[in-house]
Amino acid sequence: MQQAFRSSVIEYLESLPEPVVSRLYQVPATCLAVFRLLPELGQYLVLSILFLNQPFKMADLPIKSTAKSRVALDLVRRRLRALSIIREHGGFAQIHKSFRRNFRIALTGGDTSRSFGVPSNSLDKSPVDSQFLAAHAKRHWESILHYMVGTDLSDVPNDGVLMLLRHAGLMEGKNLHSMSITQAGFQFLLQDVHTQLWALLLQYLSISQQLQMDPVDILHFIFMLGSMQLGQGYSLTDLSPTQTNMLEDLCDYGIVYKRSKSSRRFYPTPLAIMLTTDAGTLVSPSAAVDAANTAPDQKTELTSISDAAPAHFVLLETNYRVYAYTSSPLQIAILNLFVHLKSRFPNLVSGVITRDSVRSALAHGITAEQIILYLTVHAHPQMLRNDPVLPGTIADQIKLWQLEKERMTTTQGYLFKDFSGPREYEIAARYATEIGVLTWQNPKLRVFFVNEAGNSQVVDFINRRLKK
Amino acid sequence: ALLGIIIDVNGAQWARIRDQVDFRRIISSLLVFVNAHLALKESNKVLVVSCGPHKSKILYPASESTDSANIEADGQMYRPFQVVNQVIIDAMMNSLEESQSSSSNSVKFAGALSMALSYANKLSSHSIGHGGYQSRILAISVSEDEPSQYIACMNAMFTAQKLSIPVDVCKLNGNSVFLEQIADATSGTFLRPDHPSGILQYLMSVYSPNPSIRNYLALPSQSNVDFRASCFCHQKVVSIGYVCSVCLSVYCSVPSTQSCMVCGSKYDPEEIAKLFIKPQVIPIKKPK
Repeated sequence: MQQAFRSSVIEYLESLPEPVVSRLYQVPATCLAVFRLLPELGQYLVLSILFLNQPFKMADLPIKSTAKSRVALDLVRRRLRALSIIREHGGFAQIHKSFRRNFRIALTGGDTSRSFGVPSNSLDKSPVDSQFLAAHAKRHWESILHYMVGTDLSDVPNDGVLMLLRHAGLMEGKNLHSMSITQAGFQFLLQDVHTQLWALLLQYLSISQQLQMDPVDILHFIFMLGSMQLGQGYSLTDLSPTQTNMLEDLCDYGIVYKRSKSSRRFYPTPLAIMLTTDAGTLVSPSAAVDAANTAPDQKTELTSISDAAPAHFVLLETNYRVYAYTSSPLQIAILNLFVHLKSRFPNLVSGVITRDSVRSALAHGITAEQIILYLTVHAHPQMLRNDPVLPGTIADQIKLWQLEKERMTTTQGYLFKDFSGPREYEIAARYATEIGVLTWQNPKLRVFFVNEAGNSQVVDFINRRLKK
Repeated sequence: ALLGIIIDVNGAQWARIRDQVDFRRIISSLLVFVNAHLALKESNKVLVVSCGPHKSKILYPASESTDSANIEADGQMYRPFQVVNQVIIDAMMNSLEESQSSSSNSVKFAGALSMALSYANKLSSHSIGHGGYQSRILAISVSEDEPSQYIACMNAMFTAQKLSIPVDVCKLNGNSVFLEQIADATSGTFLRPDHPSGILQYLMSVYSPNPSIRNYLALPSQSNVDFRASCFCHQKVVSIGYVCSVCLSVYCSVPSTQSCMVCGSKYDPEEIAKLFIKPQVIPIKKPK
């Protein structure tokens, strides 16, 4: 899942033209965020040349000369070149000047561009604490997911959110208020919060280009949010108009909290903090809350890791029974997509994975890999001690059920029959084979089948040659 | 991943290389290195231990949780970096003052290494599931070995080996056989920089890679390590000596009590006597 997140953000960044990317690197917070997205060997490369002041020779790097190392190095070099962090010519490579300057500033301090957010040190009349922010984030985010799954909920997401969902292809429908979920939407539901967040933000970026909002500004703001501290209020000074507009939209998703339209400060929620996190254990808003609630410099940091348990709640047995220790209606609704739920208790839901339940999920467009990934990602810590996490039989069986759907492939086309003699059949069949459109033939019965694309050619040929 | 830093705070030894590099420069380079490690991944953690002639102390994370409240947020630096840097600077200045008065040229390294290893062990036992918790330790040293520390150092070394925690060593001054052996046994990097004032670049290019990408890199290493053991009774370096058959402890000469000092097993006096039999000289028969 982490690879998926990285690849989509990085792909977006790679697709931006070079001048735009140069503007992106003028801000330390963005350099830090982009640095975190690089693969490990790439990060090492950047660090080792960051404090050099002149171009360096690629041959000077202490890379081993085994084939594996060379392949890894090439991959990294390609990625760094695509992101314009490194420019190569001759045997020399040079790091992008703005990136170098601003990343150094990020590491050594002295950031005058306030790119890490301006904390508002004035006293808030009614301060908010992290619990409130976490609850706020959870409410908004889950309302979006609930809306997608179709459970009845009193607070429907805003119009802006609905438009984004439709633009992203996650839901479809002419009327904004009565949309139905699509195949992509189902797949979206099964992913972890991180991937979901970024998927929505990337869609937002693509809409923004149509709305004349500057994508660089938006990216700056997103990366600034990722580097903020939970529980600290930040003021609106130093934000560009684009970013202030964005703030309203982000409020709807539950990423930031702003008390009212005229309020001069905003608070990032746990969803914002995890924008640049890569921790694989953050699989739900509740887990993000738990992990972010205990600030890094408190003694309880170690217990917080085990508190992420609410996000790891699924037990899968080898007899296809599923036990999920959750009471969240959202997670139960998601499980209902591919598990035949049988009983529900205050803290537990149990069911069986059957052929029918998996087939109905497959009919909705969910793939077997996603089901298996969902079960693995949300597996109970006790399951994590197994190797592999899920029993092999179950994983294989889910994949087999998916293969069952692919027993037949269909091709549309035309059947040619009633030839007057073997010679006619021969000529026509050979021509069809030569132009490559013959799909099936039976010489005894003198019939052959041609796919749709080549039909007109074969008909013309027969009319010319055989009707004379 | 965890980066544990053990920094030598023997004031006298640092003063000896004052003309090559200033201690403050070392600290500031170290802080940038720590920031770089934290920048790699959000979940990275760092531990800083100061190792002095008399005691070792954990500088970061500090046990009192008053740090972040006291450090005012000024928006000039990424907040986690700011907090870590401030705590380390304050604690380091304190510990350097304490050790100004001593005159020994060695530090209690085994204690610091044990502290770092137990912290790494605590973190890895608390981490959830998939794949182990990667840790590594960097030791910045300017002091000599202390012979009485031999046993403790070796024990710590074997622990690090068992936990697969590489211990890298950056030696700015002095000779230390123990540190060479430790770096070699744990597959860490041992380096003696030629230009100590450029220490930041050394840190970034040699000491920053994680164990997982070290497979791709050819980092400098020490090839001739002095593997000779020290005896347990006098802490002298021996290449030929006596070994207890029960606990494998090394002696330069047979213990006077005729029993092992470590495990207490008594040796058979006759066998010991056999060790000291002088070779018989057989007179050469003159050919007739």
